[in-house]
Amino acid sequence: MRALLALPAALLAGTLHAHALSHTAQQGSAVIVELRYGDGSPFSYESAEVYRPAESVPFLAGRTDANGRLAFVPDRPGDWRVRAFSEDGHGGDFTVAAAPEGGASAPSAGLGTVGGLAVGLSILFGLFGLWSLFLRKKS
Amino acid sequence: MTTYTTRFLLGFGLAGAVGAAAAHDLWLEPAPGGFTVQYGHHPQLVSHGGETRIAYAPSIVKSALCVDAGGSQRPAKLGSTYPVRLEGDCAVAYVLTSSGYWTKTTAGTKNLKKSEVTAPLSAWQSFESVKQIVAWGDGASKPLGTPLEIVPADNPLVLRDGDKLTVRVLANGQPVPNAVVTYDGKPRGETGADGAVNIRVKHGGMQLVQASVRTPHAGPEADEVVHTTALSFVLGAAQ
Repeated sequence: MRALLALPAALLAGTLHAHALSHTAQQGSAVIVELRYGDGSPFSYESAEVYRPAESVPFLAGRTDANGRLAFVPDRPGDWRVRAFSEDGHGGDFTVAAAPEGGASAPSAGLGTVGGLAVGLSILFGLFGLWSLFLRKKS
Repeated sequence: MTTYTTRFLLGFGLAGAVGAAAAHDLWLEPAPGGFTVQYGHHPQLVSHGGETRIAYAPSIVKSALCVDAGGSQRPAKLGSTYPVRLEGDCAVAYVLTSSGYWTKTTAGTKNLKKSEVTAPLSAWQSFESVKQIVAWGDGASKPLGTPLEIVPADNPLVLRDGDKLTVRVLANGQPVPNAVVTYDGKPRGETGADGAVNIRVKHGGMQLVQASVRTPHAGPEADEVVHTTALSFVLGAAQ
């Protein structure tokens, strides 16, 4: 499932220049955690960290968004630790049970740019071959 | 722990949960000849998930009052090192702290005035206070006249687990309507026009009733003043 989703993304990957970054936009599964103050207002723009189960190096380090949300894409099942904290003393430290989309196993590393292009070219060649066969039969 | 069951919404797989960002507590801990001012998560406030004591700058402690058993009020002597020590044989002790100005930015909340930050989103001046009732009497039943305080209607030291307690939230002796009052960090009600609200004590030991009030700030340093006050007492301390 993930590989299928990755295909169009790989085909749409931008060209890499010296200091440029390629980017992809994927539709997939994410865990969204929303944090609010006691009065219900969003815990926005504050520091947040997400840890894989039983790991001490953050899987994600960043900030909550304007709505007090943070999102991560789990790559293994288990209890993921979420820490969010602000300089003025508010914060939370808890776990959420999460698993990768479609099952308990971690997804493969996915297709790299070169691999994606190779697969994309293979598909194009395949489509061209089918089109040639169709034209040959017609004539 | 939160378990997710729903994963797909409109093509994007979303699983969500809402968590509350807990604040820290201010409390007074009995010590020989007085109290120490503590900040963090009180060990008996189970909803906060464990004891934490946070070292603070002694300069945040602005003033303290000590009320004796007869109801006489006087400024209490304060120490200058962490944890700040409040001297005195007090039936009621009150401490006011302020961590200064705070400004929300897209890079988090900063301990700075609004005018000291580029592109501020909102700003406030923060005050926290706590009143500890050790013995019931005039000092505990009458307002101290502080900027913000919680006054119990009856002697809370004789309550038992499950009993109801009426408290009033007062600012400079005047009732504060529509203030949300929390118990163990959870909202339990909103004050009426007379500043009163009923709560029910739910466990033994240390009790912490809190209220937070927001008022407009007069100067350009902040948008509002946020004052959080606490009333603390030990259930069954009168027995």
